[in-house]
Amino acid sequence: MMKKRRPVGLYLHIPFCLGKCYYCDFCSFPGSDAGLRQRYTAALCRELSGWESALSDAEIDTVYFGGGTPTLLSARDFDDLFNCIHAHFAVAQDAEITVEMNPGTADLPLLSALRSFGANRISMGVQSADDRQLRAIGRLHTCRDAALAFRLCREAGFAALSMDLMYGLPYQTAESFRQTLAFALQCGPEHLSAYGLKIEPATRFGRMERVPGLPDEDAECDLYALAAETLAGAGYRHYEISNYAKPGFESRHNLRYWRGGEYLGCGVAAYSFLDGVRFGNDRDLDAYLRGEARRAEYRPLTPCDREEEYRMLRLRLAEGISLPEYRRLFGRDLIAGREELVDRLVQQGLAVTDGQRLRLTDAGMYVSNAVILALDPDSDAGN
Amino acid sequence: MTERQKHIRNFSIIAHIDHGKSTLADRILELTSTVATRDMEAQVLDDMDLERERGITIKARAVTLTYRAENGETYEFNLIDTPGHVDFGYEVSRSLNACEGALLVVDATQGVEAQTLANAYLAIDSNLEILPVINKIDLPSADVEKVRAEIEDIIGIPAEGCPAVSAKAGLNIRQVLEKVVTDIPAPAGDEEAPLKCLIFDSRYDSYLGVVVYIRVFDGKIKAGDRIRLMSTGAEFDVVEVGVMKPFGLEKTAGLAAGDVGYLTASIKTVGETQVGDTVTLASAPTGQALPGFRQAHPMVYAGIYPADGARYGDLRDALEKLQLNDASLSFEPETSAALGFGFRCGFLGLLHMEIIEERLEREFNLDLITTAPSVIYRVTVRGGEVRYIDNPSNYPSPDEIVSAEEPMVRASIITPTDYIGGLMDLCQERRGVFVDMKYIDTERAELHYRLPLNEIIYDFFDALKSRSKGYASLDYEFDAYEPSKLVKLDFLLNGDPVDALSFIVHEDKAYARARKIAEKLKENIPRQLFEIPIQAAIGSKIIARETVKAMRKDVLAKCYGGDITRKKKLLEKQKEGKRKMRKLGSVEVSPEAFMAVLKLDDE
Repeated sequence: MMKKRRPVGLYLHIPFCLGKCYYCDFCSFPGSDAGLRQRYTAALCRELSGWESALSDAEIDTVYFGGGTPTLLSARDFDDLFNCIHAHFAVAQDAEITVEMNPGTADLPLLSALRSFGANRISMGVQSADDRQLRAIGRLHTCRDAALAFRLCREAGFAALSMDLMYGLPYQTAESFRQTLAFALQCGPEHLSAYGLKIEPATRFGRMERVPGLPDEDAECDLYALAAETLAGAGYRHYEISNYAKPGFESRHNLRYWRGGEYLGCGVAAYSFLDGVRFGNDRDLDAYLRGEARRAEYRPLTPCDREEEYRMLRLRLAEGISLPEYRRLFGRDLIAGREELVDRLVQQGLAVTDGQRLRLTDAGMYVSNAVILALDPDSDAGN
Repeated sequence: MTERQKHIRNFSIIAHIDHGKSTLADRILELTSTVATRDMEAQVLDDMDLERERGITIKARAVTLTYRAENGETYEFNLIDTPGHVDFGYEVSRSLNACEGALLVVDATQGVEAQTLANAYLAIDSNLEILPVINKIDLPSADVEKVRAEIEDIIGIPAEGCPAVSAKAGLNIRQVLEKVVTDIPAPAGDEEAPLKCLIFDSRYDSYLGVVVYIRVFDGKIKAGDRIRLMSTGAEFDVVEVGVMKPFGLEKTAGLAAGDVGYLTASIKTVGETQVGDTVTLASAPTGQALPGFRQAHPMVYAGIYPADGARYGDLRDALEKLQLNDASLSFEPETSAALGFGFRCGFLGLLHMEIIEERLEREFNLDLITTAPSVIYRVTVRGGEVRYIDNPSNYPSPDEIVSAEEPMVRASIITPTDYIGGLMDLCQERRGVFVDMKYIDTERAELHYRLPLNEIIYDFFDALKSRSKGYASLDYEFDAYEPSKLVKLDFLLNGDPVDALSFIVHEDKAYARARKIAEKLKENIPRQLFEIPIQAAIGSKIIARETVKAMRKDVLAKCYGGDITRKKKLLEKQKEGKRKMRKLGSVEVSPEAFMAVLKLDDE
């Protein structure tokens, strides 16, 4: 009988973009140089091949090309990468293989090529259906570009499409976000992510004294609630703080992050979690191209880390925490001694529990940091 | 008078703040060539950093200088510096008592100010010869003749022929020194009479113990003498006597009537050598102590707590160290349900309090939480017992109180006439009682009010400055206790009273103040998972309420591979922040938020 292989996800970071969005602090570089992209592809293949023996017992059941804008790579580059993956790892028959893209960066031939290499899911950064808002955050495409790109993906044969939206954008009102949601529903993706804009320090927005036109916190919360309500009404399940899916179309790769599964991340600034260790590559592209990638982090998780991450990640998910599983894994009861807190959370409509599971409601998810801290068994009970 | 005495001049420099007292002292030090200019750090006499930064002298010091006058003779000048703020009036008066004369420095652009007057009156009360010096004549807006007229009209001392100088530019300083020689009397006093010295300052030195600064009025003192401090009767053996030179102490064989100098006697704390006390010989004591001694009483109290509870011990050590040099600072342990362990500290006034806080934070690297300052209320309770209450927590319940009194001060405000209306409104709002008003000239007036001290410590000085564009000046002194309708205002968060927020206030002010603080609490308490009701109460009666709404957003929207570590760091940070939080009842509030609530910005 064949021994069951351990399931591992594979993340490939493609750090090239046509321009830097004003809110983005991901690792990305100008992507106009085809030669550079090719050299990067070669470096990625080198890194991947180096993992062959360590992952000889693994089965890759999700692959995720993230960025950056992966579709800036050529069909040839992708061909190399897919060949490399198949040459060194066992990839599951039904693996979920996602490629991120931005509208206007992939034509039909490229999308068809991706489909033929085995990609079966596209995640598209649409962000808003309002061109003024798109300009205000430095996006290079319009709403029409997004609609077109979406049609091309379908034409190329992708049955699983995901769309990223953002709320809390400059000049965004409830009305304009409603229109964005309506646009999204009209496109009909199987999966939707809706992220609140966060101003990070190392971004164009972060360096500005004040970003004009930003909605205040209450307005932003209303937009979050609007997304949750609208999408639920359209048959999408709110399965994670920022993620919604038609049944069966949840992102398996991303669920792996939240459920504590193993993954290998390759490329600059990519993170991995293998054999109980979280580690990552730093952001130095030149060093990476020379094959001298340095570790940005190497952290074997202690039992204490695992317990904390379990709470923190599971409470992001609609499925929440199984209390018996928590007890079994960590040898203590999550709720004991904090019944009063849990009662209040339930009363205030932030959490739901049936005694077996504790999970957060839509409103609870949006204050999950505070809930997680209050539930920390190693601190005093919160208020 | 002996030949020796004829060549001594003991004098002070007095001035309103910022009129250039310390700069003039610097120039005098230069000209007496005691300090070579190149060695001189600006303002030698102010030896604390803080003083140098604020440009004010906090503690008096003295220095002995040698001056060769135009008449060919050499004189010993004892220049005694005085603290330049209203909180230290008593110290100023003791320093002045050690002198025969005073240089009254007046800014040629500002004219006579409230503290110019207050200090001049102190000097007159001490029977000093006052030499006006008009300073800053190098400034374009200087008006020497006008200021000269002000000095004569307002203070009533002749200013004809008084030196007009620029201490900053070093202009006409020699004239000042010649005036010291010719106009300030030499000290008298009988070297053969029983020893009688005035303590005008003291400081703690880790090698010598307490260094006591004295002025000898009668008799002689030398190492080995057994001395007695007349207020306490405590006796010590003198280890060393000498004089203060600009860069340190210089041991001498002895000090005699007329001299200013120091003594050391293995004294452990400055609390034992109180300013104003008389030193005499144990073997042949003088029959009569010098007049005017009184104990320095704190007027303002506040609770001081370490922001990090673990540093309570460090705070205690720091306060003990500061007290070594500052007998007017008092403290005792205090516990607050909200703030944990800390100290109830007594200060001479608000500036004194600010200085202590700043030194604790700067020199001892402590983060502090300070409660709202309070005055001492005198409360008579049933059964006739009189209690002095410096902490709102100890304020008796209304049914126990027979009568309550609060301290009143006599305040004098000098202001350009343009602002009289606004300042009279301010005094009125602060429950002041108008006494009188005098026009100094067509442009300035002096207002006299009786004001409750608890109104003055509530941001009065800043309000005064803002309503007069910074031009009005204030001086005040304690007058008397007076019956008052006082109430204790409590604040409740989630229904639980927060002791550290309680304060005593006049009934008429209670509602406005309650609303204000409740609003500030609302602004400064971060939204938490659950809604927080805020209430202000007098006894069981709620007089103001606000609500901190429940938070709606505290989330990291994205959390993928590399974000997990970031998210964890974020949570770590929030957890760390939580550790520093103070529990106000059942509500967690950061020390910063707590301080923001107490910050007195009424205007």
